[in-house]
Amino acid sequence: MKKYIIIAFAAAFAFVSCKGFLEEAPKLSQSDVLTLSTFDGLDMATAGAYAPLASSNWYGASFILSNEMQTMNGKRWGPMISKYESGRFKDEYSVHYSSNNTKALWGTAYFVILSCNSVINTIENEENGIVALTQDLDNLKAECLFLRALAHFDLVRTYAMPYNIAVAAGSKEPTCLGVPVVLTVDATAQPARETMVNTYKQIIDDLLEAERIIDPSYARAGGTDKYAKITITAIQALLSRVYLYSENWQEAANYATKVIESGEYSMWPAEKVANGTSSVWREEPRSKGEVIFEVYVNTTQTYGTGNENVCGMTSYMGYGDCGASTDLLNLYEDSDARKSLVSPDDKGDGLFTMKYFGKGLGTIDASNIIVLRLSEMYLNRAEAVLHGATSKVSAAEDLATIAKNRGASPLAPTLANVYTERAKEFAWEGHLWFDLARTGRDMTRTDVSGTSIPTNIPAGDYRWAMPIASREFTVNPNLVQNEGYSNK
Amino acid sequence: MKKIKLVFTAAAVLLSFVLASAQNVNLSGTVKDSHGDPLPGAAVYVQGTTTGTNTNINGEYSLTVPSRGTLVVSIIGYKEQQLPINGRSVIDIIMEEDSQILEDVVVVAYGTQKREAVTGSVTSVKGETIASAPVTSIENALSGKLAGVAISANSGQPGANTYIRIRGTGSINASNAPLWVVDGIPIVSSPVNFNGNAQTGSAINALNPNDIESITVLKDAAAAAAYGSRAANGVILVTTKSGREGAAQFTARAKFGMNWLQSDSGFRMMNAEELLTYQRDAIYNAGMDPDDPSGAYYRPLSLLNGKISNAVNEFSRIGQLQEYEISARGGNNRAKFYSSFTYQKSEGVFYGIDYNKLQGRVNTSYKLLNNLEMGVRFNLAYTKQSDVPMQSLYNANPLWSGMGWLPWEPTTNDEGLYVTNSAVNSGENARASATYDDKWDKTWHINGTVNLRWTPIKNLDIETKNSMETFFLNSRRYDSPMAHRAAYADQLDEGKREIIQLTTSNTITYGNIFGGYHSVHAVVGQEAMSYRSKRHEMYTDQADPNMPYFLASLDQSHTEIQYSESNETMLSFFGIADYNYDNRYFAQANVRADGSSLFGADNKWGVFWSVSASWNATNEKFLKNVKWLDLLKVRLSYGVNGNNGIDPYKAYGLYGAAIYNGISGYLPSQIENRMLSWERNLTWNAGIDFAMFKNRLSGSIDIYDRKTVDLLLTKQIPQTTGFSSIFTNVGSMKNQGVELLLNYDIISNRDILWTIGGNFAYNKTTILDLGGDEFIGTNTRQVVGMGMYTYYLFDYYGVNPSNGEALWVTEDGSLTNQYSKARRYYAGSPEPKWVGGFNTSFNWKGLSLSAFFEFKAGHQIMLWNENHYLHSDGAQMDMNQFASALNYWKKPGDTGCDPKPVAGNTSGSDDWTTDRWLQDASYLRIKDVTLSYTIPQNLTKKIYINNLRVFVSGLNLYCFNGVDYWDPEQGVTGITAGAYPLTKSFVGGIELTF
Repeated sequence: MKKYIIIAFAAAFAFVSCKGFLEEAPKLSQSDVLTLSTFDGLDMATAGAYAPLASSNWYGASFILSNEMQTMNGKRWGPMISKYESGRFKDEYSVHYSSNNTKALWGTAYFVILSCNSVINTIENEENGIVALTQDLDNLKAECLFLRALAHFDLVRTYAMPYNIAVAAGSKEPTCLGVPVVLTVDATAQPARETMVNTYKQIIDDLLEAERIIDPSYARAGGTDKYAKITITAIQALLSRVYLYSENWQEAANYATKVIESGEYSMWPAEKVANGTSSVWREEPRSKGEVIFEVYVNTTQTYGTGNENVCGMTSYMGYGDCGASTDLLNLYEDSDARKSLVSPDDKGDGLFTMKYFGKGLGTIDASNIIVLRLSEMYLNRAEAVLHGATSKVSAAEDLATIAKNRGASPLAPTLANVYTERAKEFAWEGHLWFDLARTGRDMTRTDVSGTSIPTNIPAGDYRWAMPIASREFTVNPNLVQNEGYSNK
Repeated sequence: MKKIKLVFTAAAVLLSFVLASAQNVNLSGTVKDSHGDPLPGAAVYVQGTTTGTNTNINGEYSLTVPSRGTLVVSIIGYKEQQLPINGRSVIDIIMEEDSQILEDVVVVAYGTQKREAVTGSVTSVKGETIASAPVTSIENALSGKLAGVAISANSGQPGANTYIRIRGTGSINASNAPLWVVDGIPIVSSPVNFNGNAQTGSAINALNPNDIESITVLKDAAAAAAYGSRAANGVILVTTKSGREGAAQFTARAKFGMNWLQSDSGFRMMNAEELLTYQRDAIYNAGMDPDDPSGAYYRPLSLLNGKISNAVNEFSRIGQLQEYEISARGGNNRAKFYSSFTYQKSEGVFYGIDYNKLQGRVNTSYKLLNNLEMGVRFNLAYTKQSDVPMQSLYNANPLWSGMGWLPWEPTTNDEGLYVTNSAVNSGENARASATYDDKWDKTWHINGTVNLRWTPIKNLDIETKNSMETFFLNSRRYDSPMAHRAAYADQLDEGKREIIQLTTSNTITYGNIFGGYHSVHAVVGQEAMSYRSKRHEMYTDQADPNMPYFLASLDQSHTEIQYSESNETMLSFFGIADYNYDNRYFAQANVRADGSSLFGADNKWGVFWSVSASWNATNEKFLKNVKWLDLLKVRLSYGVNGNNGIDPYKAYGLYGAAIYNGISGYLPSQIENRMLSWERNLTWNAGIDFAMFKNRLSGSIDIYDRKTVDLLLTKQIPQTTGFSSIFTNVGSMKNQGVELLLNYDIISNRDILWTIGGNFAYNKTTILDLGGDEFIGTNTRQVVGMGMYTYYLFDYYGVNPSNGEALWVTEDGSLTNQYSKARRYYAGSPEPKWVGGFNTSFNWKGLSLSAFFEFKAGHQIMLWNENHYLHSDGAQMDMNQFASALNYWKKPGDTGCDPKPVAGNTSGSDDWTTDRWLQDASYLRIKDVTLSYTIPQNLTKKIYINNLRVFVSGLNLYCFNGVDYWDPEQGVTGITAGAYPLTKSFVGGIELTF
């Protein structure tokens, strides 16, 4: 009898010694460990990493809009014209930032960097033993490297001074700070800002590795917009731009050539560029043309929905806070198809860009945001050649290619003319502010509304770098603020 | 197989107890007290029989008894005596005075302890105290009875949950609720309901107050440490009744009651004349004409000629309560049982609010061998909770809708049908909702524990307890077209919840006395718990009104299905050691290691411990001769307890879904925290227990300091990590307080016992560190250096006597009529500084009158939802207003009144977050007055009834308070929204034992 009693008690005591009793993983959301343990999980995590590009903190709105409103392209027309004016983009228009009112790109871009790092580090760590073809894993890694590079690049363009501006006399390299370069997943990290050189070096390294490992024919399966996917030409196009920003003229020209000669893209003719319901700006789905890489936006995805997207902010039918200026309109000769893209509202008042008129039939919904397109490759190469790079094609020919396809007169091959052509071509695509910055020119404008709007921001002014938000300094003692701004 | 039969036999005893017949003798004698004075009225009876009598005026008795029986003598204030008759014909009895305080045994963690040996801070309530109060919830019965235990209600709805805070609040993001342990097994602590509005579903509600033998509250670290990571908010131990050796004793109870809505502060809504005058003034003040039919506000005097409604009255009623119970208790030297069955039906004071409960319990034990006992404890409860959306600002909430209903808008039309097309109430009618909508939660709660106790050698017990607690809940919400306009009609929502909690608790207990002086008691044990919860919900907005169910013909694009699941496991090892020397020096140590699935991979295990000691000075030689002092004991304890009350999976790094470019992907949604761990409470407690003057005055005093460290907060982190915050252990807060318990027998003689008692507790909560932040929250904040909740409000000054406008104080101290320029400041807190209660009871022979008072003081409440809409200075012209709003500015020079009402008021004077609505919520409540009469046994025994008691009680008869609302009790945060107020009730009942 006693034996049975002992067995009964022993059984009760033993009940709990099962291994793993204290492991309870969530069933309705994927743990990071689980997500990153299979190829499908990594694939989904890579697909997800694209999503915040459409965030209103990034290409979905403010990254484009604030850069335009800081320049002669933008103007607030006020409530008499912008009927639903919401009071947004006032500080951007007056280039008046503080550490408590700065661009929100920081958090969103680092969120994408985290998403990418999770995938990259898992693939790099062979111990994880993911069962998949090496090329399949390499393609995912290349996508993530591209997104990480793009995020770091947009961060350094926004939150640091221009690359060249800090090159001390007699020095070959810039001495100023870039941004924190984050390559690991660590919730406790308090990274300091990297030097400008190292920031760009990491961006270029990431892109070169991506170019090397991606299957040249790869584009992510599924999806609506083929040109919103990372491809080898997208990687090369971004490399051309990054080399241009860091003044490696020869590589900038070389990579532009690679993209141009890939045959994947063709110049839009003037009639497709001009404003209208069948213009390329309202195209859905996107077909072969100039677009190399763009951010796809519609009203049903996780990011980029809502009235605050680029469409809503730049249209008189939406909030309309972000209007276009007569300074921009006056850039164009009458025959230029691009002139029609700066157009008044339905009453004939004010001016607005027509590049974001939505993809629907005349209603304001959403527009794709173009990140890289073929015209830029021609203009990158022309600029690089004028700085001494060698190319089979002359700067004059490249400038002529643009003019020919826009109904404009070709410009003589000078740097100033390349800058002008860039201003005309990429108006409202988020280039001008950075182009002014990297080429060390003043921002000047004449058509402004209100009295406290600066009409001149000289080269070297502290305002060319945006402040880092004060909250970051309270949680990261290693961070250094840009000159001219407070930490508080 | 044979053993199984024996168990069934034990249960069958309930029906088949047969009196043994024996030879009878004539027995007589005298019952006297220790001073030799005769005791009249003492009950003298033969155990297990209905044979008995009472002593006469000279303390004498005589009766015919079986010669082999046991004689029982009892009288209030003296210890019950049991004497074998052994064929004697004369037995004189000297009764010993009952000094309960010294002799009590209290239930403590994993066992019982003589009260004398308790070293921690423990208070307890006997089952009779709980059962005698004619309330339907155990928590309500405890309110105000235990020092340092604050019980607050958001709602007076039948079946509503309460919020229990033992010694203040010690956490911001984790739970502040104590752990409930029933018969040694921790039960599911969070309420199980489907719709948060109902605020019902506490597992404690599944218990019958009359089944409870005792409740012990473990307040300090030492007392609670044996429960480790769940002990920080205190532990409430509930012990249910066990069987007793003896003939089956049946008790039947019936209760009937009624309850009604009443404010004791003079609060009411305006009547039609008052509101019309008010609104017409408001319209004039806005520069408009109330008699202009084309004006924005047309309020002619002729409105009073139509049908006038009083919607609060029309949506409410006199509520009713019925409760029937039968229980049986008995056993022999091998098998014992207790069982009960109750049916309860409550109708709330609002139409549509009903609460029905069926509940049964069986507690049995059976000695399989002389040293091996098994037991089963089983509780079943079914509740049906009808749900009109109380605790909301919906128009279907009868209180909220009733208060705001314009008196000149009838609630019924000429045909007597409910008006559901009134423009001012969004086409709803709470009374129609109550009648035609189909909304309820049905819950089946099953809790069973099987235990086996083996005593292989003397003084050593090995016990295993294995328990399963399950909830099955069905919920239905259907909005009928008879009560809602088309856009909102035919919405159907059905849900299910399923919770299964399995617990095994295994202990080895050893106790012995060595050398006559060294008393040792030790427990080692192990426990494991698994909790699984699933929730399903189906929704459609196109139900077929003729067949309002989820038919296959439903348009699937109009249906939604949701599912969620959460699981938790826990594994524990613990030890308790007690030592006492000569009943003078006592010491106890506890240690418990808990492993939990809730926490980070690097912090799954935590160790909690306590040490405590006490000194019973009265047992020292030098105090032995101090006759007036019956007890003087000093206690001191320190310990570290944990709080694990967080949702599962907080430690995991998680991915959520993201869609982009028509492709589904994953994005990180939660950052991993491998270090996520318990909040720890470090608690000091010092106390004194005393009794004097033959125990006529007794009491205890405790002071404590409870510091919470590793407070779980959402901490800001650099965005370069990819996230901006992480849920982690930073921050600290503390609670300090004093508790006092006093009892005094004013008159204690053979005829009369008149006692008074009271408990008072003072607690102060201070937030010490919020991980670097100065405060958390927006309008109700946690602020460093302040308490748990601080209202952050705009500074309202009063009315401008010259023009009747509202004035506010600005940052620089000047006055402004612009709300936007008002300064904001920390204005008050809903945490009572003082809580307590006092009671008195007067017993004369079988008649007993008792009264119980409860109070809370030193705190404020914010009825900001109610005031914003119903005290709006003209902003809400489509809602009735508080009658107190009639005191408004009428002419220059008026002060101390509301601003002048202006139709369409835009001044901001009606805004939510202004200190204009801050009210002192201190109150004193006459919680319970009960008059009961036990009919003398010499009368009742003729009809074979041992005990017959009738009683009548008034509950919450009056509440002294100055709050301009129904009741000052508004939950833990002092903010509710259309909550069911506490109501008044009368309950009468009869209880008989046979």
